[in-house]
Amino acid sequence: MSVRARVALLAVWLALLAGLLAYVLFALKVSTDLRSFMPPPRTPEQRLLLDEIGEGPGSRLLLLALAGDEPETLAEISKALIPQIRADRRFVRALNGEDDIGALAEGLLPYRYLLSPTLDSAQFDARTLHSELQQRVQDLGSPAAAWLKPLLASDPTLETLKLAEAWAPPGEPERYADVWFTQDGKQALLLAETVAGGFDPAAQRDAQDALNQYFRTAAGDSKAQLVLSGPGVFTVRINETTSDEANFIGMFDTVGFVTLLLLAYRRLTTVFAGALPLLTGGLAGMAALALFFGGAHGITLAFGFTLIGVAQDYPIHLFSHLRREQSPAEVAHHLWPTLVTGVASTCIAYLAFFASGVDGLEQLAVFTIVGLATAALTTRFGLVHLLGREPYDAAQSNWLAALWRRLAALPRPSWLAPLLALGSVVAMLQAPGEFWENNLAALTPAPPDLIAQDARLRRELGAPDVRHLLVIEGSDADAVLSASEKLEPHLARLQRDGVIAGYELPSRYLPSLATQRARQERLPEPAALQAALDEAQHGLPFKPGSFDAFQRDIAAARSLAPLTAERFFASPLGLRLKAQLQPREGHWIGLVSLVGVADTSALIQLAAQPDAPARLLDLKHASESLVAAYRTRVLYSLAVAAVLLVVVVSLALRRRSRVLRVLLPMAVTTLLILAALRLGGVSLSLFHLIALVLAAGLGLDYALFFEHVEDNELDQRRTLHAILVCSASTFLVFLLLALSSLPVLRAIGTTVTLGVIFNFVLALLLTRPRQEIADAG
Amino acid sequence: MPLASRAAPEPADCRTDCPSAQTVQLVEALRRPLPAATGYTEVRFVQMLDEPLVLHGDLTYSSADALGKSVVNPYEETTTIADGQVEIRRPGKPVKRFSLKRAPALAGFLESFSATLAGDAQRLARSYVLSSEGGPDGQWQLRLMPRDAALAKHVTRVTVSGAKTTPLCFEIEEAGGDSSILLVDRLASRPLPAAPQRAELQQLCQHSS
Repeated sequence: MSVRARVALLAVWLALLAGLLAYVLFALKVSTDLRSFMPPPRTPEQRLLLDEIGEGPGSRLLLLALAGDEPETLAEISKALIPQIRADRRFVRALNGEDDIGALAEGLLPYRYLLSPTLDSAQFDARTLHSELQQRVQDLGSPAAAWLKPLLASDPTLETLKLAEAWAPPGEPERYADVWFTQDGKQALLLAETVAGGFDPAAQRDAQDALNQYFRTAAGDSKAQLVLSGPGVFTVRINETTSDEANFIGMFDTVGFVTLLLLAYRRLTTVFAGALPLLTGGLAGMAALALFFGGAHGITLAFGFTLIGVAQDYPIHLFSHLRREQSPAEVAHHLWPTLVTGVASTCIAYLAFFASGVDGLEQLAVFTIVGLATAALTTRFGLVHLLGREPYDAAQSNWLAALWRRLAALPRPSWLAPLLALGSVVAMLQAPGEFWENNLAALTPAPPDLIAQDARLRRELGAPDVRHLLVIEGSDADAVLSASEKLEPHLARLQRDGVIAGYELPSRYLPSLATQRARQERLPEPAALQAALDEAQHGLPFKPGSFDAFQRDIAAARSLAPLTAERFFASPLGLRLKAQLQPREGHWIGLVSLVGVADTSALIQLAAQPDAPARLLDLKHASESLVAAYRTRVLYSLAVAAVLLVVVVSLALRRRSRVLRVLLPMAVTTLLILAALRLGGVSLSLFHLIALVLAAGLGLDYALFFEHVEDNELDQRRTLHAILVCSASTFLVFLLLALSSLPVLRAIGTTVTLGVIFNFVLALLLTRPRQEIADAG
Repeated sequence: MPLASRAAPEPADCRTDCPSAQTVQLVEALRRPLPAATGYTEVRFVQMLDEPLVLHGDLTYSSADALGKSVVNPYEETTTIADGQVEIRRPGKPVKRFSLKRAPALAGFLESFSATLAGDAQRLARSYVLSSEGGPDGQWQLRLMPRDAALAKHVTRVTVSGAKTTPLCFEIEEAGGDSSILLVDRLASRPLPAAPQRAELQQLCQHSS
């Protein structure tokens, strides 16, 4: 092709890429919620974890500490922060310990006698009222009069204050200047509950940025600092360090990779043109996700890009075989059968994931298949036309010729494969430690200083346990609330016994309809109340008519329809109840947070009673069982993929000896990697499994090209050159990942690095046909 | 009586409405050593009540922002103020704790009380516009109008009256119309009628020598 035609093609290609990129940016919604990557739940525990809880209200709590300035200033900042957070719809609630009398907003005020437990044990008779009014006289004589005075006329028994106290979180911290402080009095403490789940990094990031911004506004020029903690903070921090480190490594990788290719091909244009197929494949894969799924999970994309990294080898094979006597198109035509065997068999193998029934894996399959196929096709039909007619011919290199002769002389021991396979299996079985790692968090551990800080703040704030949760299920909201009331005495007993430090029940905010009606029935008739009040005021200096508003409110409360969950939800406090009482398809659930769980067995015992109104949810256990279920599906998919791969390769190569030579290095390598990892004390995770698939794909390509017998030594040298460049570049990229400090990056890096070494060596020793070597030698 | 909606007084430092030399002299003469303690009788006029509350007890004053006020009769209650925090204890009841800022009347009283006993006219003048008048037998009256708008929303006026170098009465007028008169020193033990009238007490404060 003429230079002009090549430039035109490049322009069209780049325009196409820009179009794809625009479409992807416009149409692809990337979700970061871990739940959408998980398989459908099987056990009730898993169902609660995924469908209903997200990650539990405990995980949505952010703990805030203000430090670094005078306590007075910190208290002022704390007070300024609260209204800002409360006005933000990203937060369910924000607390700093200020009694907020205003919390019982207009809408709920008439219901106070139905909501407060006072009438469960008392009646508004003369005796009770007299004792209450006597205390109010004392209140009026005390400094507290300033804020009690406005309440007295309509609420002489101070139900509003009782409700505000009852709605404060269990196990409250110390107070200074009306707001929560640490015991040493140096840090102001606040709690904010996000709407987003604690393990949704994007939404958490957003919420935490908002908090930081509110803090800066509230702090002004104070030198105070905001410390955030809680599961959401860990999620964001881990996400950031992981992507920071991945980006850092990626930068080094790119530099190393480009240098390597420049050394191998000596043409700048060649190297950059070589990036186009992978780029096109990646964008096409994402566009396919947008088209078929409307969105993709962040983890799918991360795994997906790891898997289609193998596509970078396609241009390398082409480049290494270029020569002056043939046009690039002719070279590609010659290589195509071998290349297409590898690509097609890999793609067909990925179909197994498409049948896994897990969204995340189906997305992975679509992305990988579309990405690999696009990269291969664009290499064959696009890239070839961009290349010039004066390429670097790898076969002319002297050192390559020498190396080729050395390698050609290597023995081909037939006993090697069975011996290695057997040794690997034995090593795997003998290796110490757990075979599988079920705790995903172990792969992305939070920094120890953050964990220590979180434990300290959690203790000071009496914040709920992140791991344990009681779940109430009922046919409707009221059934859940009744069950919640039944649970109350049990939990009170556990708290007395020191099993838990506190608890938060949905019925604490909203009693069941029956309880509200019972309280309503105990409200005196107007005449009786008048008589009781008259008698109660005897000997007390209240002016006549002081409590007319109280009498009117009681009369009104007698005929109120009890407060329903829907009505409560609509009030300013509604979000708080919503966090604990939620409608599902066909039923309702109530979530009971537990504070300071000291003895799990007593909770298990409580939940195991036949008439127990609630189920104990161990979030750690549930998520681990989910991971195990997930892995089972991945393993099934892998098994099916392996069978498909064998079938496709068999159909392509036809002769059993050829099939065996191609598949053997890959199979033995997989065993060797597993054995090496296990001997190194590594427990295997999902990340290792995905990386194993990538390693297998690389191995298949190496073996296919080694097995594909070239006519002459020059071509054989070119093949060797191609595989050397492929394996060296992959080795370089993943070796850096393997050296990462983060377990998740290390898992992928180590697995693939080992895979490249084993695959390359085994392809040399097991794949190349003896006959041809003899001829070539 | 001035109302809460009155225009906000001038801020902090004394650039306007500065106390006269005579007033400064009066305040400085009131200075006494710490700690100080006195019995007191407080008469609170609350609009909700048709007769005033009369409380007897003790005041202990140990530093500029620490005050103990205990009611002995007709019931027991101890209020302690320290570092801007208020604690109210009643027998058999949980302790109530809150910030001094939530009890502005108390804060206003504490400020006027402690600055007066420290003889610190400067400090008084920072928070209040001062004016004073004297009587023939060494009686005097010191009127404090809050400068700070936030305080003025709750406390409209504090009047300290006494004889020679001894303060005898603190009258605090609150924005809502309630008020209280605190009789200290030798007036604390003065017998009062069952339901004392405010004017009656003001007379007593102004004419005791």
